[in-house]
Amino acid sequence: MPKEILEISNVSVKFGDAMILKNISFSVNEKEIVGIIGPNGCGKTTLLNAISGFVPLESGTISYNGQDIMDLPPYKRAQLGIGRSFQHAGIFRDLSVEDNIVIGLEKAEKYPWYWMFTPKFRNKTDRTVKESLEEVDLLAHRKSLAGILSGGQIRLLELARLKLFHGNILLIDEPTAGVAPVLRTQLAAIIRKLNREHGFAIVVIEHNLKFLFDLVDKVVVLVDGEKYMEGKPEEIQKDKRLQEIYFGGSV
Amino acid sequence: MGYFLTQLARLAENVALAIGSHLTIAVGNIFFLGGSTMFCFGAYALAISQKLGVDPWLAAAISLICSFIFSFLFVLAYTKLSNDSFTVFTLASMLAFEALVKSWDDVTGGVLGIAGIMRPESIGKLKELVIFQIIFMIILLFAEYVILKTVLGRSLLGMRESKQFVESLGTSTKMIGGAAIISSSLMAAAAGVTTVWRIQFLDASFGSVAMLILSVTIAILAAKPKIRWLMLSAIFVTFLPEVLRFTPLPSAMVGHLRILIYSVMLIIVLLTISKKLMPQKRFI
Repeated sequence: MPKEILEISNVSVKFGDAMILKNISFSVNEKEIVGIIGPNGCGKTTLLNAISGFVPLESGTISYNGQDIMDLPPYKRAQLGIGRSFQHAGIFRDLSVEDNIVIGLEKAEKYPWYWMFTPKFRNKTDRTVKESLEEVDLLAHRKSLAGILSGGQIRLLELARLKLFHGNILLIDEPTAGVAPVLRTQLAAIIRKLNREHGFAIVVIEHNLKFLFDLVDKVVVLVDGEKYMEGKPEEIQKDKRLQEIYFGGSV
Repeated sequence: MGYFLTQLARLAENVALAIGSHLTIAVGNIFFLGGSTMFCFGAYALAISQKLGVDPWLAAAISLICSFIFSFLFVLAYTKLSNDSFTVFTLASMLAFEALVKSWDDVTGGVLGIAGIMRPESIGKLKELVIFQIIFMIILLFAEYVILKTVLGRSLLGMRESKQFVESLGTSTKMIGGAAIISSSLMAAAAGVTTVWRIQFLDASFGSVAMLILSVTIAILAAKPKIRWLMLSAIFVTFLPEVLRFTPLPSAMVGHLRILIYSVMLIIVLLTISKKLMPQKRFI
């Protein structure tokens, strides 16, 4: 029986008078990849923001590893082990590519503040940065500002940083947004590697359904802020109503 | 020679004062306008200690300790208020402190101020003081350089773009912002201490709006989180009004015109350069 690490129970989120999420419930097991799909504005990103602690809940509960995390601020949730990537990539465009890795690494490894003045930590950091960037073909851009990278390279950099994160779940928001088709296979391979080799459970939002169905173990479909259905990718694809109404006839 | 030394001292004081604003405003995009309050607070803590017979160096240490404690008031405000309210709070702190200084006659000397503030013996002459101030300025610049290389600096630079991105890495932006505000306050207070040793007189107008405009202009004109930009900006802002000395205007008017020049410069910088140099805030 796989261990449940994230449980979302009857979660509702309200912005002003508008109910963005209505009684959403699902769970994520250890080393499971869960995809979230739904039309634009159905509340997918809001759901990830609620799990990360960036938006308050109107009602419901979220627990992580059996612990209620409702009262924890976002940074505490990250410290507990909930990693996050963002729709427009959480990369600091005014920092160098190297610093974007280092800012994640020094926090994940709990380096002391003076680490950069000690050769031991400097060498370790240098090695890790090199390995991380080599893996995503960005070593040549090590000293460049992250802002000059292409959309796909920025995504790869974000995933390289997520790999260093110490936790057991990653929330990834639209990894293929603004990414050239040629890089999508590489992105999918990295996400799979994060799951299989590094043991992360992953919740991923994606509009590219082929990309998503090839990747995930389970899909949650949101429509108008409500959970429409949940199941394995094959089950979702077979759902007649979903095909007709949401996917326009076929997947 | 005296004019040249005074200008050098002013440059060192302005840089020391502006480093704090640079760290918070240009690096972290935290609009902390309490620098001039802390500049004034540091100076008054020093002057009052010296008035009570404390040795100047010890008085400087007491002043910095008091400033460190006082700066937590700003940190508390930063953690509790929204960005805009925090900026207004820090701005209002200057007016509140000025009112307190003016009305607390027994301790601060009220509008008449405190005169005859002694310099430490080892930097008793103006030349010695200026050398001390320049060394002190270099130390503060180095301190900012070190901060920018640490997790504090990187997180502050990250916060320029998005607090949420920084929080998602497990870093408390309140703690980082608080640390930046304390560092900034201490630097401003230290600048106040060295300035009051130079002018040896202190009244309520010491940390006025003019100082605030000056430090914010230097910080925003620097815009980029680089030490060399800060230095260039400080040199430009400090020496630009000096051209007024070569005009036949009465000296009282020159003082007012200087503030006017700083204000106009700040408006121009805010309207033009800062938009191009400051990063766009990104949302999740």
